Amino acid sequence: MTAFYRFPCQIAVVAFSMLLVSVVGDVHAQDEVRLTVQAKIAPRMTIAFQPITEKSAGVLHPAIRDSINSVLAKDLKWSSVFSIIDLRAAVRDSMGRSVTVFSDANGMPDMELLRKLSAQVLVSGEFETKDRQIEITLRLTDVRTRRIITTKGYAAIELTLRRVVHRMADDIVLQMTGERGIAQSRVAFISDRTGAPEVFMADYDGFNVLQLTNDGSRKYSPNWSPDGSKIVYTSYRDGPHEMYVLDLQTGKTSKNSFSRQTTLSPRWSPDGKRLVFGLVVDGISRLFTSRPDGGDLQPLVLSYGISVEPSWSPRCNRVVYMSDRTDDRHLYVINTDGTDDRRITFEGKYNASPAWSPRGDRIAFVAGDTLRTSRGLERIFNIYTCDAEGRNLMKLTGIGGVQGNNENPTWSPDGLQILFSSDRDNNGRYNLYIMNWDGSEVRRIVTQGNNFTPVWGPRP
Amino acid sequence: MNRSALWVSGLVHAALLVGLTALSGLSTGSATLSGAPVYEVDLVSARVTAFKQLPALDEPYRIVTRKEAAAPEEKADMALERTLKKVAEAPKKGPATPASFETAMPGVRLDVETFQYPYYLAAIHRKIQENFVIPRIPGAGPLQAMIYFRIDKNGKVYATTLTQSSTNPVFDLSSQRALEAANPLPPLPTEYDRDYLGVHFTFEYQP
Repeated sequence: MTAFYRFPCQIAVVAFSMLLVSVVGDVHAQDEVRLTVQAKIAPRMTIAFQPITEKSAGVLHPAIRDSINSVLAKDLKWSSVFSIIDLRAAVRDSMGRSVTVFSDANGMPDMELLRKLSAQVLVSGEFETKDRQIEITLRLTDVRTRRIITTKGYAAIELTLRRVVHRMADDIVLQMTGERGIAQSRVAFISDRTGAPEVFMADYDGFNVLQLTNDGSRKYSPNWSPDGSKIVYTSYRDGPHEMYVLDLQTGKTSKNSFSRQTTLSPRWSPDGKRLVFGLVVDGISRLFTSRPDGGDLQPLVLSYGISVEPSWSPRCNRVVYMSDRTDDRHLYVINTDGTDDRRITFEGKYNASPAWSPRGDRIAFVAGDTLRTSRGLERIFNIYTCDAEGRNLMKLTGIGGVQGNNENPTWSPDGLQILFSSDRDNNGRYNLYIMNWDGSEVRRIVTQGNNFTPVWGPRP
Repeated sequence: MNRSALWVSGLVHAALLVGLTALSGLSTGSATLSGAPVYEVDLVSARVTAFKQLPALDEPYRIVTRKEAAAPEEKADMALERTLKKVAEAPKKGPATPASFETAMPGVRLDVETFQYPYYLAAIHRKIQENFVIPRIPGAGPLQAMIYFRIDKNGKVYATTLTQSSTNPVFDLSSQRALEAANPLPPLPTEYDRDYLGVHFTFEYQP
């Protein structure tokens, strides 16, 4: 029983290889191939969403009502767990009047219709305002038997309303799946909107952008500690490119200096005990690990050629990284004890920025596709995933036409979505986007300035 | 004549059994006491303590000590009798599998007659199915394994018993793995008034 839990990776690997999902790459380019991947993700659960109403005889607050409903509906949709039947959906009748489809004139849901559409659960609720406090009651009802599953109360003020609604969405996901949702998680990224690249943080939906550093020196490669309390990044603050740890609770920054050598792309291990990073020794970046405070420096990869961009496996027993030791850039996997160093990608000439899924089954990475365009041959970066052995390649971006460069993939804490930076919408300018694990439902979350190297933080 | 032969034979057998029990108790020590056999499975290099075992006794088998074995015959005889009696009673004393009731969800039966939350069955079905890795079993016909388990308020799975083996150990094992990987299941509906829900879950293999 206990032994089983020590092997979540293998289980997930096989679990993801059942149902056929075929992704067809464009064949107009030389380096592209038709790709097929076998994956199994449970079908989405259908739930009906009845907008939260205001329980009040006096003054109404339509602004509060609308923001609760829009945030909650988006969170449920973006949970990647549900498909939503929105009870606000309406059509026009022959007289031009708006008629709701799934509920009657009084807003009461048509349970029989919902049942026929195989909706399992109805989400509903109401709120009332007392002074400045907003009290929300959330209710889940079984559509078939019309029995209440759970009723839960939440309290917010206008400032905390978004976060409280995110928590409601996560609670709904938990009630339906046994696993908490990701609506309360945050993302960190580098943005040059204020001049030099600085570290920023935002909610997973791109709201509440917060600048974390402001000393004017260039900063790169942020990464969260697994408890979400610290962010490690690299900066030229004191001259050389070195590693800094920002404590989000105290606001204090500490430096991990290794003889003032250039330090690259630090990544916190999922158990929180080690950092892995590139350290330039004799002019070549090699991989080292250390404690989060910089102590106990240990070499991991010392081989010929540069080794950078490491990413931990969820069990912390392996690290995937990029190396150019064959002249081309490819991904390699090594055990954290230094054994079994081997190459896993063999297609193309440029594979980089690997990110190991928290489910352990897939590795997302960036590959340079050579495209024949009107300006001649051009290299475009796209996001792919493969399994932990480099097989079952799956192309996620750039399908059905060029969609700019897509880089720096990072997984959501539940391993169902990928956050990345792309210049698809404005030439040369990078924004942040989220897509599902299979490349569907791309949405833009952060725009202002250039935004790159995003990293998805843990669940709170 | 016959009576005394029976008496002698009985004594010899008793002494042999006592000796053997004592010996096995000595040689394997705590490993035997802990009970569950251990299966090594190459497939995923996970070690799973077997769940297909005799129903647990209320008290463990009593190992006859060396001292008792050396004691007068009557005492040893009584100890042996006690042990044999326990063995004979063992299968009867195992927890009876609760009666099960059909639900609308195929492959899922419950040990409560009325459960008013069909959504919940769909949710656990979805999660177990997501984690069910059907092994390749060359040459096997249709297989069916049934597992009984309980879900507590928080969705934790416990009291897992294989109530119907598929006769194929690989399939039985992957069924049990699916359940373990799906743990924790969604929490029970807050409005559900009992402490746990007992589920009979059927895993099927169609070649």
